[in-house]
Amino acid sequence: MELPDIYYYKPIYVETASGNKVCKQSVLSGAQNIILNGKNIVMEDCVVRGDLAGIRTGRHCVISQKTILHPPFKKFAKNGAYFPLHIGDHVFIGADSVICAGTIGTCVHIGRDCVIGEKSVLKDCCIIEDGTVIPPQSVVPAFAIYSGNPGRQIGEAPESMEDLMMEYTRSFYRHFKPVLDLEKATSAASAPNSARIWSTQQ
Amino acid sequence: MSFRVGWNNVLYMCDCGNLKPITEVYLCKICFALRCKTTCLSTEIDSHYCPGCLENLPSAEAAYNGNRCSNCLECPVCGQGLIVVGTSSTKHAPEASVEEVAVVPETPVQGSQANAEAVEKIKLFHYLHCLHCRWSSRDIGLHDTANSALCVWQPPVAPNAQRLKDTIVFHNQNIGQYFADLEAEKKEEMKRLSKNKNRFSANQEKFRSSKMSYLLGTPSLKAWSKSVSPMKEKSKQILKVPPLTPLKRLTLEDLQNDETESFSAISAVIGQMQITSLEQRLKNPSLQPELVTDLFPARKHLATKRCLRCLKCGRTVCKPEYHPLSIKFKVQGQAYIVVPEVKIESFPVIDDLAKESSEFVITIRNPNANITTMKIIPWEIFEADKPVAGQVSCAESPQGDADVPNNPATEREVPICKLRERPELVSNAELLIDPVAYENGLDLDPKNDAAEFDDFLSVQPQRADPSVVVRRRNNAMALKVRVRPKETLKHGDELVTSFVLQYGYLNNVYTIQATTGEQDQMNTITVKCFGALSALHISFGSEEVMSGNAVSVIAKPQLRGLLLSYLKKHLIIATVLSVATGFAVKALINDPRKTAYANFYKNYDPDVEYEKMKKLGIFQSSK
Repeated sequence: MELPDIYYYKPIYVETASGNKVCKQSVLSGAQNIILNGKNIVMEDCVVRGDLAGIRTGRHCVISQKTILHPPFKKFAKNGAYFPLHIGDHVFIGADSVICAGTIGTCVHIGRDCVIGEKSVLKDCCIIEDGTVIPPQSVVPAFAIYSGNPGRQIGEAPESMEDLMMEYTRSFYRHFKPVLDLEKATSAASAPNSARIWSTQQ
Repeated sequence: MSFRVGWNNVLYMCDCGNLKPITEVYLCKICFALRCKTTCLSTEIDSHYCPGCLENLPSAEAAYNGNRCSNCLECPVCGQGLIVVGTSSTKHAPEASVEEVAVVPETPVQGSQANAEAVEKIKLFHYLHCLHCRWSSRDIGLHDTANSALCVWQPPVAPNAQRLKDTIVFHNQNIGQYFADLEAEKKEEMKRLSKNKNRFSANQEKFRSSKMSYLLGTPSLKAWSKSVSPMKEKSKQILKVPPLTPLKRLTLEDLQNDETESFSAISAVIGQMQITSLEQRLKNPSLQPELVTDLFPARKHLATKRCLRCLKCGRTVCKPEYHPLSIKFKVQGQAYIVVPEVKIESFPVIDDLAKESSEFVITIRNPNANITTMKIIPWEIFEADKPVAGQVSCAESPQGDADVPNNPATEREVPICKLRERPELVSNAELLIDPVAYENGLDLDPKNDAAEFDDFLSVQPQRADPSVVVRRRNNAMALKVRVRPKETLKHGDELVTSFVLQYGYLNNVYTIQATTGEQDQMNTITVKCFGALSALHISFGSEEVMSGNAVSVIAKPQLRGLLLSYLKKHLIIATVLSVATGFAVKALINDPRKTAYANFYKNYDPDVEYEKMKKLGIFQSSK
């Protein structure tokens, strides 16, 4: 199904020259350590802890509402240190997730309510389903679908995962549209179909 | 999950008749037909790798290790990877090692350099630890070890391990004999295959399994019984498995009267937390520990990278690169990359079945790097044009048959295995297409990777498109289509329509024909699609529509500042009302009262009134 338009209230978003759309209602601490490589979307109530260590995301990443990007902490004998968090291109992160991973590859889909443990490594083209808990220091191989608590492999992503995610994140960015009257736009967009679908659910 | 919502809305019909989403369909570039993993593709293992340490293993080594990684251990409780933790504590270390450590001078040494040397000499002990469930090797009473290599933690040997090993060897030998017999039977077929031996000779064992699966499909019972009977005779010569004799014969009564340790252990009260779950037990089938204290970490299972081979022509359809980290492919046959993708953008709104037709929008994306001309044909018209009309069945010849090069090397039997999932979707709506618009086919623009970086490229020049084209963007095009419900559509049914997509495909794959000097040629590929036009079941009838509207009218309740907005509204109302009431009181009560007073006092003479009252004798003190 073609992705429907997603509207956001224009005054609360900032659009940079490279096309990043960042919500003003998110917390971006240590902005000098945060590198968003263009056409990224950072939605409302996100927390990006750039003050602890560097955070770098690739192109066309989507970070949904209330998600926390937190650099991983490694404890040593006497003290500990924060390590940088790298996220590849075309990565979608669902709402209410906590990301403490060391590295996330390209074309990765992370669902909502996920916890990605400290220093864990997510290879390219993997799928983390909704509500998954990936334990610290674990590795998710390429093309794996992980689900559950603790996260286990439940299947394999399709071979065309790379193109799917590229198409999905690009169309998400294209359909993420600014409006000044949010309620009017959302009600106008979803009225005819949603009414019909609602009626059958009851 | 968000990005997979609606994957099943449009299903493609594989050549065998199965309906699959585009992500599960492949295009064989020799047969020019769609293939699916269920029936028409065989799977071969290309390489083994560990999903934990991502180390690539040769298949022989993987088989020797029982398809398990020699470096990674799994937690026996939760199945996650274990890490090795180093500690200087000697509490859990074996006594012998502690004595060695005691030799190390623990008294403070003067000078910082000397201190550093002392620290280096302190021996580290290691134990296994799970970062998810906090299980550690100390929980099962294992001592910490001085060696940090994972091979130190060897699992206990199962009591019947040797016997199990012998049995497996015995069966392996018989299976080998079974395949040898079959190979002899299929001698001619094998000769033909041996022409291509160079391609497959990298791993004979791997090739044999795939070759056999290709040749056999699912073996019939007759063939199986035929092959089993000589096998039994030969097996006596090969290897004899020693018979199992019980050490002691026991009856039930003996057991009940038995008061030995084993029986008392069964009847002893054990806490629920001490007993292992079924999953934990079956992870170690040879030991099957019943108590949590008997659990031992298992080696991680290896994962595989697999390639797909067409069962009809025997060519590779999809082949990943060997390296476990690579996401690239040596051979790409995924339909998503070569077949135009159809998406449903807006669903038709059908209020009642009597309505003539309804419009909806589909988008078609061109995955190829050249202009693709495509046509949409309604299923009914396509079926009517064919010489033999009727339902698509497994025996039907594929559309791409005419394009298959007539070469004996590529000819294959139709696979014996004809498993087919019945198509669950039955078209209950007819697609209405304007034949004039599709007369010459519609051109889909080529895929252009540079368009992402250049916004101007994404805007296409205007071209004379028929009215059915809503818009174009890069390599995608949105089309208006109409759908009319058939008589078979009932109240509450899912609206399904079917159509055929025909498009030209420029084949640039190395083929035998190409070697004879012919240029790349354009082939016509026919793709059959089923579109489910509703994510959920659409209901028809006025009642449901009414309730649907009622639902959509309910607004979101105000959750913040309700009192403030309430006060704002009602303060105005109260002011207006009070002012109005004030004026009303003034006009209706006060003013008439004042005029009444004024009129009364206009002709009022107090002296006359006084005299009148005096005469009447009201005043007693004045006369």
